[in-house]
Formats: sequence, C-alpha cells, structure tokens
Amino acid sequence: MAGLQTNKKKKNKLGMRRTGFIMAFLAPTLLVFCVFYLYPIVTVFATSFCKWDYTNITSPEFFGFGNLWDNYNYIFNKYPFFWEALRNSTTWAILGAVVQIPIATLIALALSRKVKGVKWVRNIYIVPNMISTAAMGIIFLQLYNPSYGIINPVIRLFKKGFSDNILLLHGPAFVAMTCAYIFFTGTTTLMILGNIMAVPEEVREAAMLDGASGLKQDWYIVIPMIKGTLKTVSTLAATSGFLIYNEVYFLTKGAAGTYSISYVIRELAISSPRTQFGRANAVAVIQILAGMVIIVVVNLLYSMNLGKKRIDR
Amino acid sequence: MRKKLISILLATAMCGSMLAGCGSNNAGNAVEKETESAAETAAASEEAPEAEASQTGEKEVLEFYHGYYQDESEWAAAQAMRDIYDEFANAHADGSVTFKPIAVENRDDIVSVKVAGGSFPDIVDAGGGGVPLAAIQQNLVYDLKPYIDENNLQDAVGINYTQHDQDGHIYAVHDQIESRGLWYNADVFEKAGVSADAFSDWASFGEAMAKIRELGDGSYGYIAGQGSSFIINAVMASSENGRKMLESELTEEVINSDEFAEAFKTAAKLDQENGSEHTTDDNGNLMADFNTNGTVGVLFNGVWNASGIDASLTEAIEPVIFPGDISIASAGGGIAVANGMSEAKTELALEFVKYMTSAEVQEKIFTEVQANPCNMTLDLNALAEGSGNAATMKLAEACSQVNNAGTIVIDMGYTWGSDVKSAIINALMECAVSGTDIDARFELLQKELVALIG
Repeated sequence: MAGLQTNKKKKNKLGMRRTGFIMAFLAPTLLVFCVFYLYPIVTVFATSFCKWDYTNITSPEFFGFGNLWDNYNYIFNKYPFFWEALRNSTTWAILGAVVQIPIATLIALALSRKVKGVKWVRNIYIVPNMISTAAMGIIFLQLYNPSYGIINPVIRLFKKGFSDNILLLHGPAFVAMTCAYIFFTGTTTLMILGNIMAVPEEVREAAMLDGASGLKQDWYIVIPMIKGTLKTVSTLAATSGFLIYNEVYFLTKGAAGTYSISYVIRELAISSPRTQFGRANAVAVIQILAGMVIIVVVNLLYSMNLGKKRIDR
Repeated sequence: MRKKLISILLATAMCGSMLAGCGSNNAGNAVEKETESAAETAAASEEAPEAEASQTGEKEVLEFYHGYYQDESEWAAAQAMRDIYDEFANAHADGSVTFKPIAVENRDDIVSVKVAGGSFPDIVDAGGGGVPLAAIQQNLVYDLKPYIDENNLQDAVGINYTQHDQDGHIYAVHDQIESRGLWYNADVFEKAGVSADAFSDWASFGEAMAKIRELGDGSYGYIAGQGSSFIINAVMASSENGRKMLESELTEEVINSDEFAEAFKTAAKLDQENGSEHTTDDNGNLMADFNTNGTVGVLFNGVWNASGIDASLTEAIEPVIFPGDISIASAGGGIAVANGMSEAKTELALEFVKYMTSAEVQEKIFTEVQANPCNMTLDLNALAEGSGNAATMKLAEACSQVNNAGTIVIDMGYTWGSDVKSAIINALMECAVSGTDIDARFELLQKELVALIG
C-alpha cells in the first residue's frame, strides 16, 4: 500500500516537472502571441465601444453602458456602404472557396502529371502569381479601359456599339473585379500540388491494379487523400476573399456597388477627415467575427462531406 | 543510479541558471536604474533643450518632412523645390539648430502615425488633405497667425491668410496655391466649329462638347469623373448661397439644398452625354489624351498643367476659367509647425515660413516649379516674359485668369472633407453610364452624404 502511494507521489512529481518544462518552452510563444495577436484583438474589440475620433485621438473614451452600441448602431443603421461591403466581401469569400479551390485543384492535378514539359509549364504558371495584387490592380485597370483595353472590343462582338466603362456598371463591375483576383491561384495550387506529389506511389499502383487510372484515380484516391490540405486552402481562399482591398482601391474605389469591408475600414480610419478609429474598429470586430464564421463553416462543410463518404462505404 | 545522476546534474544546472538569472537581474536592476536616470535626463533635456544643447555642444535638429521625393528626370519641379530647401539649410548651417529637409513618399502616413501617437513632425509640408483635424484638436500645431501679423506677411502668404483662418488661428501656410480653371484645345474647337464662347455658360459648354463628339475622329469633350467634380464646385459658386455653402462645413441643409441639387445634376447630365468611357476617378489616367495626343476638347485641371503640355500642342492649348467668371483657388495643405518645440527650433521654423513666402523664393516657385505662388506682390506676367519660356507664359496667363476671376471659391474637398468628395465623384462616375437615372442616383447620394457627416 505504502509502495503504491510512493509511486503515485513520484508520478505526480514527474507530471509537475513535465508541465513546468512545457510551460517554460511555451512561455516565449505565449508572450509573443499575447503582445502581437491578443493585445491588438482585445484593443480593437474594446475600442469598438469607445468614442475615438479626431477629437480624442490619444485617449479613447468608453461610451458607457447606456450608449455601448453607438458605433455599431452607426455602422449598421447609418453608414451608407456597410451592408453593400458585407454582401460583397461575403460573396468574394464564397467564390474564393467554391471557384478558386476547384480551379487550383484541377491545375494542380494537371501539373502533377508526368508529361514532357510539365516543369516548364509549372514555372510559367507561377510567374504571374508573383506579381503583387496592387500591380495586378493596375494591369486590370488597363485591361478594362474602355478606350484601349481588350475587354470592350470583345463585348462589342456580342453587343454592337457598346462603349461604357464596365467598371462603372452595377453588376458587371463586381464580376470584373472578381476576375481580377480569382484566377490567380499560384500559392494554393503549389500547396495542393505538394500534397498530390506526396501521395505514395504504392497507393497509386494498387489503384492501377484495381483498374482505377487517370481521372478515376484522381477522384477516388488523390482527392480524398489530400482532403486536409483542401480544407486548409479553402479556409485561406475564403478569408482572403473576405479581406479583398487592393482590387477595390485600384479599380473602382467603391464605385458601382463594389465596396469591401477592408475598404470601408480604410474610408473610416484614413480617408475620413474625422479620423473615425472607433467606428473603423467596430467594422474590424465584425470582420474578425466573420473570419471565425468562415473557418467554422468550412470545417463543417468538409466534416459533413467526410461523414457522407463514411456512410457510403 | 543513472537517473539520479541525471537528476542531480539537471538540478545543478537549474540552480546555476537561477543564480545567473538573479545575478543578471541585479545587473538588470542596475541597467534599469541607469535607464531611469537616462530617461530623467531625457525628460529634463526635453524641458530645456537649449541648455542641454549648449552643455553638450550638440546642435538641435529641425526635421522638415516634404513630399518632393521624385527624381529630377521624373519631375523636375521636385528637384527645384529640394534646391530651395537646401539653400535655406545651407544659409543656416552655422546656427544653433540644423535644418534637415527629409523627402518622403509617405508624408501623410508619417503625419497620421505621429498624430495618433500624440506628436507632430517639427515641420511638415502637409499634403492635399491639409493639417489633420486631430492634430489641431490636440493642440499639436503652432498658430502662425501672430507671427504673420507681427511681421506683416499678409500679402506674402496671400490667400492662406483668409482660407486657413480657423477661428482666428492659422495652422498652415502653403507656398503654392492650388488654382484651378480649364484648359481647352483651340484646334479641336476649331475643327468642331465652336469658339471660346462655349465657356459663357454650362448650356453652351454642353453644346460645344456635343459638337466635338460629332467629329467622329476619336475626339471627345472632356475627361470626366474627378475633373467634373469641379463643375459642381463652379455651379455652386455661381450663386451667393452656394458660395456660402462651399465655404462652410457640409450640413444636412446643404445636402438638401436646391443649389447642391442643381450643381450635381448639371455635372451628371454633362458627364452622361460625355460618356462613361471618358470617365475616371484620377485625371492622370487619361491626361495624355489631352496633353500629348490632342484628342480631348477640354481638361479640368490646375494651372500647373502648363508644364505638362507637349511642345507640339503649346500653341493650341489655352487656359480659361469656369463659366460665370469663376475660378477655384485653394490654399490646400501647406507648411505646418509643431507646437512645444524649443525656442531656437520654433524661431528657425518660423524663419522658414517667412523664407518660403518671400518674393525671392516665390519667383522660383513660379518660374522653376511652375506653380502659382501664394505671394500676391509678384508680377507674374513680367516674370514670365523675363523667362522667355512658352510653358511659363501659359502658366502666367492661367494664374492671372484664376487670380483675377470675378468669383474665386475654395475646392469643396477642403471644406466638406475628402470622404464626401470621393462619394460625390463615385456618384458622378456612375451617372456617366448611359441610361442611369440621375435623379435616383442623386437621392442615394444625399442619403450617403447625410450618413457620412453623421
């Protein structure tokens, strides 16, 4: 009995030591996380309930519980571009996951084929993805230029006499802006491609012996095996779609119903001569919450899909 | 046994590191104390910088941030401005304060960051947005009015004296005036069979633009969007009420006024007829069509456009002011000085304001920088003739027209705010699309503006 107790004590001591070691090694990371991640998030959240503009730029004032939601009330009920921006950003987030990821997966599958010249094509494909989104914005501005761009002549093939600036047309402007980013899937493609390459050769060979080759192999073997990566890149694509800013800034500056959430934050915090930091942070809180929702939704969708597969089996 | 040995070694290592830690903590305390005393010294030196400077023999530095960072080959005016600043620095090289001009691309960001942190650059040539309201509210900016009055610089600072007056305080002096009128291509006008009478009223202007479009050789009326926002400015300036509205902050009353409605709808109608393909939020995107290609009838731009006109078009391009003998002149941003600097630094900063508005420097701003100087004592025509430069002659003509217009008003962007102006420009650009319901878009704009000022 005494021996058992001694053993228990020893185990406890060892456990404490292990926890101590773990804590010691985690401490620097936790510190950095608290200073560079947690503190800004908490500040953004706290100041979204404060009056913080040009009149009190160095000392945000808490509204008090009676007027706690003043900034949010302004954003939801008065600020003219918020709902438009939220709708656009959400649509870009969905398109990021629904359009960008299938495109990236198809390209990655194509690039994973062992055919002559594939390495060369892979490098060529990556080049445009190294151009910054800002530079891309300027390039697309030229592309859409109604006087010398290449889009208007194409439209004229179907609609004679068309001369309007498509970046000023409600609807087409949104599509034009989406096209300016959605096909640039370089990083995503590389991540997927890396995972495809990691699929063991034996698995492929086994599939071949079972009669699965080409597209069947991709559908039944490769894609299920890279599901984890697909979930990650879907989350990344959806969040980056939700955060779109450069395209709005360079192409339309919000005209023709193309405001985005990030652009709204800029308008409130920087463009407005009234420097409305408090209100901008209220929008930022909504952006953070939306980001979390995106992560949850993507996870949910992928787990639902997985569950269905299991039942099928 | 081995486990015990390892445990002892680990314990020894831990004790050693603890002792070392405590030791360094003591050392740390010592460093902390040193730091504290250094901080105290720094605080003391901030309180009495002159005494500190004289004790250590080190010179104070007066940092001046400006936006003329471009290479001479890219924009010659930037080099001309830098030369002017360097001349001042050299002239005061022997003084107790070193004048240090710093050219930066992100000047406005630097100012914003400093102001958000509760400080202000020693001196800054504030950009288009002007001195941030937040800086003025925090009392970070020096009031230049007493200095201007004591030294009788009213004529030297010109329009700054009235436009930058904020309840009896002047926080910035711009050495150049943002003077705006129109430029037109006489050759295009002649081809279309129209004359400069087109600028007598907005209806005639619209008819002239229609005739230019009818030419069918790729020519078009004017570059709309950012440029046509000045139509709103000019139409509002044509009535006394409108002028008052332009000079004050934007209110709900102004947004719902007939003057604003008429001004917006006049501009929007002209823009729609002109076509959305010639509409841009940045004039620079289509500027070459006017200055180089000669395919545009009219350009809404400042007097400074004189230096951008291609030599082959100098003869054809002429300046003119808005219908109704109206011009737009704004002091805009300008040189702003920080509050709470040492006496020596403040003195040199004020000396710099005087230098920049002096006749000698203002002449250079006109002839070398090719901008409209703020100093009202200069004879620009005589200076232009003396220079013998065709672009400078055009500039003189444009400046003289703007300065002598029957009505001179401020750019609404400076009184109503840049966010308001960009909302107006966006609405105008959308109206340029054929078939857009201008009345409906105006109603939407009204709602947007009411919300923006809320």
